[in-house]
Amino acid sequence: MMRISLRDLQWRRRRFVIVVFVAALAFGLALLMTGVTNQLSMEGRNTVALFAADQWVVADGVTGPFTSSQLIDGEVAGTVARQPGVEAASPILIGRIAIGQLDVNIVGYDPGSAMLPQKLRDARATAADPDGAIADVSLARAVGSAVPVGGREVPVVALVHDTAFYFSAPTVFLPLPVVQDLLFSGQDVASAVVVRGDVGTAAPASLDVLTNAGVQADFDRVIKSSTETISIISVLLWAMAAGIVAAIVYVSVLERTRDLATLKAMGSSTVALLQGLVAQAVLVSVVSAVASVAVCRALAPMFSFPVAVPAAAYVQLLAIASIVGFVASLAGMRRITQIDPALAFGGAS
Amino acid sequence: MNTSALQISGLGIAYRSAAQTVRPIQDLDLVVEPGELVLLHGPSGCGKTTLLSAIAGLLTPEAGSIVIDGEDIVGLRGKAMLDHRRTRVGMVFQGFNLLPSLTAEENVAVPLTIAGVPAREARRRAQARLAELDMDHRRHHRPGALSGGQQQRVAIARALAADPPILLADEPTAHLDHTQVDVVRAQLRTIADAGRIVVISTHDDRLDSAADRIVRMGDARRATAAAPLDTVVRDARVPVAVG
Repeated sequence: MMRISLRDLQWRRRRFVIVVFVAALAFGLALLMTGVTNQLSMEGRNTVALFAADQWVVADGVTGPFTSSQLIDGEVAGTVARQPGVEAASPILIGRIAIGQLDVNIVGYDPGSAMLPQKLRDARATAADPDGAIADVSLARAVGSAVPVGGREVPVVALVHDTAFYFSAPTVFLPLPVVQDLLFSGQDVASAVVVRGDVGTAAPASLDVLTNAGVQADFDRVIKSSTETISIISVLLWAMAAGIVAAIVYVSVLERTRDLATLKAMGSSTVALLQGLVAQAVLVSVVSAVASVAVCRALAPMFSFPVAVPAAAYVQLLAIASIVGFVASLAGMRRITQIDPALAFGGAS
Repeated sequence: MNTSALQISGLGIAYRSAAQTVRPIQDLDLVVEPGELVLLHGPSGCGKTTLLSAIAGLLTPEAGSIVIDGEDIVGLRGKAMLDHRRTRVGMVFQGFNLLPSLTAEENVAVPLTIAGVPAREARRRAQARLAELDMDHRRHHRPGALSGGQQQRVAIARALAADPPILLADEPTAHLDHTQVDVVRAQLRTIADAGRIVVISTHDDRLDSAADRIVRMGDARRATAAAPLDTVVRDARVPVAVG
């Protein structure tokens, strides 16, 4: 019976192709949504990991250095560094500017710190002027060009990857004094002090100590409403794909009512017919899911920020597609159980 | 292939709806011996197809028995009923009911596949059936590429694929021209002569010459008035005035 069902799909191949195309669009968009969510979440993880810190000292009440404009005195870094249990401490200063229509993160770092991120260390090593701007590639500025920061043109001296954050806003790294000078009128301020080691309970008054998990949670808090919305859209897209497959499977059952009645009349069990129907629906769904990978890759460049689809999402997609196919076949299954084999004779006469 | 007679006794079938109950068949007795070709004649709605459906096990009678191979099929349920449909009856439907997605050969193999015959063996036997009906050269064609007569032969081949002792045919000549009717009539006669029970529902008098007996069935509208069915049996080969 499975073979008959598959031959039926082959027979109705034009319709099959159309359904696969439309369902693949739905699956592909859902895959893109997953990629967007993952990208947003990954940005937070990448940014936190960039500094290889154990703890983050921030102003009292601040939930995270990347989402708050509340600053601390730059001298705090020295105070923290002298605490027992602290191996190293380095101030960072985070600001945000607009370059044209593009929001850009500005991160000030201490070039002489033992905690200088490896990416920046490598970039500085290749730069002609290490105190120039190290820009994320997503800013789309070449080495040698300039970025306007605080009313001044700062030359781009090196490029780094995967440092964008806050909805994929590109990041420009500058030495801390330069950022203090350009954006904070030269005041010795910082957004946080990144710490290697343990500050313990000896944190200076009016300051809070956050763990990496805490900083990550702060990132996630900002994107939470967005990711939840995207998740809802994803579920709706799965449902849409299920609806598309269900509609075509149901119509197919309606059209094949006489054929199915004939098969029942010839002794085919209802279970065998149901298995054939489920096989059809799951095959349509899974083929759509596979095609959706191409759809996703074709559409991803049209998005304004990177789409990072995790490998697990592809496996998840196949599992969801199988479930979607099964769910989509339910209406058709109900119809099959109701088909009277006597219909094969065209009813009574 | 079984050689027992088909014995129908006191058969009653009712179609019930909220508005009314229609009894196209009431208290019908009929015995068909192996090798016999019986035609069911009668006006539309008189119960010809209903009788075929009941013999095929597609309808559950409200009264009577249908004994085939010593077993009353009226009481059969589940797998036993499926086995009855798979092994004891072959059906030729008015509209042929060939699966449009399958080739002629695959269509003929369907009953065998349903019966659990391995695909290769099913295909071999399907080829043999088609060859018997001179359709071997068209075995790779789908129904849409076959003429009405060719489709009918494929439908007959499919009905005989599992070698059932009983062949039921519903208006087998309805869509055929005169030449094709001659061919189908001869084939149905040959099938009966091979020892099968052949029961045909038809309006087509051109089949009469192939029949051993003709059963004239009454009008279902009279049946609702509880009148007995006007069931007359005669030997078709001896002209007899029928009521």
